This record gives sequence, C-alpha cells and structure tokens, in this order.
Amino acid sequence: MNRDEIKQYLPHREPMLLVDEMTLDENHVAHSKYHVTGEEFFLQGHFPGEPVVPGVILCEIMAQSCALLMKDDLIGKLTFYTGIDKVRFKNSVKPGDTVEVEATLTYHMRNIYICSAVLSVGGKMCVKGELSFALLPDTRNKQ
Amino acid sequence: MSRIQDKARALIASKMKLEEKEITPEKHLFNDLGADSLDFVELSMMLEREFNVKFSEDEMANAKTVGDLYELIEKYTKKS
Repeated sequence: MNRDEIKQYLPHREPMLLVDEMTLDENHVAHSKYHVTGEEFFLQGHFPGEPVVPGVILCEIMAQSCALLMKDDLIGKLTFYTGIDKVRFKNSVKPGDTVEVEATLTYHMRNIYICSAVLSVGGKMCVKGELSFALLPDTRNKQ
Repeated sequence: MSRIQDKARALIASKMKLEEKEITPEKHLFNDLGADSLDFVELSMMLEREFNVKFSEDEMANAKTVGDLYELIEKYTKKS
C-alpha cells in the first residue's frame, strides 16, 4: 500500500501523514516504512544544528502504522489515541533514516483496539510501546 | 467468596489501583470504581488471560458491576 492507497484508510494528510508504505503479512502483523527527509516541520527547532525526530512524532508514526490492523473498521471513522503504555525510547531517529514499524493487534473489544508496536531503523530498535485507540464516527462531512 | 472471585477481585484492585477491600460485588465499575472505557477493555483482557476464557463482547459490555463480572467469569470457567 503506497501513500495514495493509505489515504483511503487514514484521514491524516500532509504534513501529518507519517507513513510512506504499509503491508499486512499472513500473521496479521502490520509493517510500515517512513523515510525522514530532513525537511519535516517537526525538525525545525528540534534541535538547531542537531535535528532529531521528536519522541511524540515517533509515537504518532507507530499509531498510524497500527491503522492497518483495523482497516476493515476504519471506513467512516476517525482513530483517536486512548492510551500509550510502556513506551521506551532506545535510540534517536535522524534525517536520512528510514523508520520501520512492526505492529500487532493485542486485543479488540467493540470500538477499542490495543496494539503493540516496535519502531526501528536499520534493524536497531528505537521505540517500543503499547498503544490503544478508539474508533469514533467521522462526522466531518455531516456538518 | 470463591477462589475465582478472590483472584478476580485482586486483578480488579490492581488494575484500578484500589485496595481489595474496596472491590465489593455491588460496586459499579464506572461510577464507583472510576473505570473508563479503556480500563474496562483492559480489565476484560486481563480477566480473559487470567482465567483462560473468551467472553462474548455483548455479555461483557452488559457487565456493569463487580458482581456482574464475577458471574460472567464463573459462567465461562464452568463452560471450559
């Protein structure tokens, strides 16, 4: 799935669409990639002379990567974070890095989804955590 | 109180960061124990893992009190 295909499921748009490609394997594990070009808005001022992708942005990349795990339920819905647990930052991510995320669905009940995700660069783990989401009706076109 | 209820009570107390003595059957999970929808789903996941059962979503969603949860767990552990 490329960026255009991803947009059919994710409501995020530039500059906050933070996945370039995604696949779901036969074990229902989502794999995604995002290339950090160095031009992103969040690198401006974080930090001057030493650009590093902010931790909250890495969490957002993991969250968007989890969307594929719920794609059948995503149409007409918006995904909202309900929790971030056990997040650990192990290594920083810098311009030129290609971030890879592996995400799995841990539990699902009604509109709540709990996922675990690992974000790495070149096989080196940078972030891991447990993320939870609520899918709520997308009312944007009804107003 | 049965062993199942003992275990469930300990899990609920741990999840909600409350004293076990506060977990009594008549307590409403949301109104009395302060659970939100994510707590409720996480609690469901913890109870399923602890008792090695899989609740029906409808039955679980209808559980409003600690006593409702005890009944549900006992029903499902008898099935398995």
